[in-house]
Amino acid sequence: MFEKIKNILTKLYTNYPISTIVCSLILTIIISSGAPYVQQDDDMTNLLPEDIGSRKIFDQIQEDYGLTEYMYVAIGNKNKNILNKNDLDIISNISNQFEKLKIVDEVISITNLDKISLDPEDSSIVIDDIIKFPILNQKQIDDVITYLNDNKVIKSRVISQKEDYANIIIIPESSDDYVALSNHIHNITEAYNEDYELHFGGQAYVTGAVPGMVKEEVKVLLIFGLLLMSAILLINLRDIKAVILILFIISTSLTSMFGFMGWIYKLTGSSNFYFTMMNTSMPIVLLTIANSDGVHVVSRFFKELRKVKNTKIAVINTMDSLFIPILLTSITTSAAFMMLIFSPVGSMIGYGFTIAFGIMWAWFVSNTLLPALILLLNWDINSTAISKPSYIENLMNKFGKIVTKNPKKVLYGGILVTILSIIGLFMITVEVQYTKMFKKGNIIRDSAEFLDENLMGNVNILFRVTSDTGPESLKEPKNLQSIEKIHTYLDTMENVTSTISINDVVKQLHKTIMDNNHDYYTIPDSIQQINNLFFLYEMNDESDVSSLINYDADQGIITTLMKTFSTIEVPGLVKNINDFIKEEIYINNKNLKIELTGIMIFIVDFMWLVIKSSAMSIGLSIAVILLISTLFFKSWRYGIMSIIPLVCAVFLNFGLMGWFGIELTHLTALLSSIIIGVGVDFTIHYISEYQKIKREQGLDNISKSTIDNVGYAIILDAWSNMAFGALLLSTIIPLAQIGGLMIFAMISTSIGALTFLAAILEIFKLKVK
Amino acid sequence: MKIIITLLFINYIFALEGLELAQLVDSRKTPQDIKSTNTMILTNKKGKTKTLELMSISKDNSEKQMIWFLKPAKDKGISFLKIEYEDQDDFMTMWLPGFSRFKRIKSSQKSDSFMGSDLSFEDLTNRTISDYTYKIIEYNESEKWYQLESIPKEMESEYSKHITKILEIEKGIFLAIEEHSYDKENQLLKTKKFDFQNIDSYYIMNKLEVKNVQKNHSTLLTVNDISLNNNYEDSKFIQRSLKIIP
Repeated sequence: MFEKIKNILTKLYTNYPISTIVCSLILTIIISSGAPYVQQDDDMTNLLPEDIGSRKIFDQIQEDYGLTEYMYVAIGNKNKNILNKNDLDIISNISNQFEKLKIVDEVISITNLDKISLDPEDSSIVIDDIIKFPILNQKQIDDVITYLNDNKVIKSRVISQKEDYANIIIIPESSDDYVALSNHIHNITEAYNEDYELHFGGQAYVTGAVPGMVKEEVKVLLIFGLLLMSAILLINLRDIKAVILILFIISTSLTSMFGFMGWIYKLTGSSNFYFTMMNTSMPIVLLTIANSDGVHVVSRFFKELRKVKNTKIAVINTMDSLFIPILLTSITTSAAFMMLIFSPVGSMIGYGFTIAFGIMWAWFVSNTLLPALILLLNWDINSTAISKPSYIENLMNKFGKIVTKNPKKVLYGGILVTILSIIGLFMITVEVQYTKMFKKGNIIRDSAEFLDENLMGNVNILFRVTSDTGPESLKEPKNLQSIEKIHTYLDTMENVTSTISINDVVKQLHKTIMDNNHDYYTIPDSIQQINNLFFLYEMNDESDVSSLINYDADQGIITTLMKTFSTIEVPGLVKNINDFIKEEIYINNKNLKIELTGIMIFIVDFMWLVIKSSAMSIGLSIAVILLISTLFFKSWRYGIMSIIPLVCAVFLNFGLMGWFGIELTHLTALLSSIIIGVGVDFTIHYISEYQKIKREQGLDNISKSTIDNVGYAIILDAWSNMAFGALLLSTIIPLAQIGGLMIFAMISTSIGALTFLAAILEIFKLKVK
Repeated sequence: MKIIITLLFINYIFALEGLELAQLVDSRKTPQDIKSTNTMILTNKKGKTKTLELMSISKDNSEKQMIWFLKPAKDKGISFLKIEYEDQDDFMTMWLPGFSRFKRIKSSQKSDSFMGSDLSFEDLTNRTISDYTYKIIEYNESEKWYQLESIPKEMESEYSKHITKILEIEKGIFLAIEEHSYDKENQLLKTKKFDFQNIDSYYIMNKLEVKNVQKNHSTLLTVNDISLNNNYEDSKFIQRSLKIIP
């Protein structure tokens, strides 16, 4: 069947090259026209499967109590007191501008904070704005200072310890608006950049700002990488037309892949086909694979043209040699990516499907458009590019001799390196600390560190407290006392800056109704008193406890605001809290159920999910490659040969991460896809060529000839892909790590194929039929 | 020319009738006092409900009123007293049995919610005719109803205007059956629907539905066990009476 397809394609591009080009381009344009339908989704929470425990609780909390992820804007100047008329006017102005945004639910700042107080005239409880604008006299400001000093917990949320910065807390209307809101915030505060230091933070801000930042960096560095790749190709191929052809194949594959993604989303509406932060690496993966197809075809064509001195025959010979290996590499790589359909993360299913399509389209254009274009172009047979082998080709010639002469040494060397890297696997750490994801000087890292040091920190953990004794039962003194115990415990934790719950309101009201006596900043002992306090509070037009306790008053949330900490600390933290709840709460209060969630908790869940699904996809991909290679090469031995360098490369890369202390995260875990995607190309090209030479020339000098024929293309492919090491320049550390690891992946997979695989085949050449 | 004269005539009639209509509604015959047990169902935007039961005694067209909470049990005993004055701020106070304390409600807090419902203290207070300007904006002759616009003059109010549908239920008896109230930004804030029951030739409101369209929260007040003219003395309407549920 494959022979038939090959013959049909050969007839097409040799007899009708123009029609072949036109048809391929029309098809590419039709598919690419779906690109505008690509839907972007920057909400990281949507990446987590809905049935994961922490996500379920988190979603229910957002549904019942409103958003719990905030954005913070800190404004002020170091060591300059901010509690003065001018600064307060500006804070009020900024807060009002934020409040006017339709995508903002609420803004909390020193200038619009609610003050619960006792009216001295008639002892009534008043909930009112802390400051009335315009500020008419100093007394108003003094009153504010007195109130804040009297209520330190409230003060810590809106003013820094030294009173030199104010914190504006913005609660977004919906998690879909994080990106737009972070942009609006920057636009609004831009006017104050000269007079004030501004810091931005909070989980909502990071979620909103990071995807754009990652995309922007990837875009710039990708272009830089492409330019570098073009330069590498040009230096080696020494022909501008050849480089343009390869880039043309890459770009048609890339636009078709995005077009396909858009069409599928348009037709199915499936959220699996959203373009999320996880999909950012998609262009890099496809670029490397499409580049591989183009490089193999063009370099082989040059080699053939040098031999036969006829363009048409050279093209036919090239495609005759490469049809099966390119088809096989495309099928195996696509199948490997398709294994992501078993991933519990929806966006990775879409990722797998889309990349698989892109790879097959790269195969299609490499077998139609590319040979037809080569045929139509004029090639100067006497040019240096064609008449003389390149530096790498000469190098490969020498390399082939070394491997052929010392196969065992090469094999043992490879085994030793693999064993060393396996040791590195045990040193690998799984961690995400988002401030450490950015280099110093990056706005997110600097602001986060500032907020951690001076204000309430950046992250939070949520507790959902449910009473099982029916409506209104959470308000019982016993239950509020239990919540108070958790408050006290949390406040002793190192990273906790503040804890918020319904208890804050109850205690404040209790103190206020008891003539502002601080001794009554407590939970009342009688349910009747607590109910009376709620009754009073709910009467007030400004009152709103819906973000703290539900309508039935049998459930509430505790929000713990924390300084940024690493995910590595999360399991220990969760264990300590759960132990405390078990030993100190549940033992005395069996009616309460306390559940933990929050972005920090499910970043850990999400990260492990991605890592597990990546590990699963590695296993499945390798199994699929083994199966397909066995079927194609009609030998299980060749099947095993084709996966050995891949397995070693995976060990090498992850081992290297362990040795060099590079954390395994949901981003670096995706590197396995690139390793397998590119690595399988190299091994299959090598084995295909080996088999072809074996069929045509026998076993004499087979390894040297194989390396001579495919080594150049493999090394050139790997070397040009290394251009994406440009990602090393990124200020986003995981991206830079991917750049570094990409270089290593290219070296390990290409050298692995040309040494490890070559040595094994050389040693066992008589046994492998 | 004929049309212009007719329009001028209609405008003239409406300009006159606005205030007159308000006075007619206000002058409806009312009993000396009313005692009733009321059920208040509060429904939030998610459709969750809370039911309150309260007892009310009012006098002089609700110028004096006392309310005791009977249910839910957690709020039992909380009570409220209101006395309206023409020449001074109204007196409003609340008894909190848990703390054995009275809590005054200032006139500036009139926009506060009454017991977490969609009714504010202002809604519970009789409107002084002279505090508003009136205009009839629609009249349906066949069905005998009017749309009356009332705009607060200089008084402190949470509203910018009300548009009230007034039905002439009997010759010379006008009842407000529906009202749309607008906030200070002139956005619709609340809609109210009133039902009346004729008891001993008095039209007594027996059902009130209020919806806060901005908060998507609603309140249904049903008035039961109505007894009229019980001869309650003015001296009953004092703070001390709040401490004991009658």
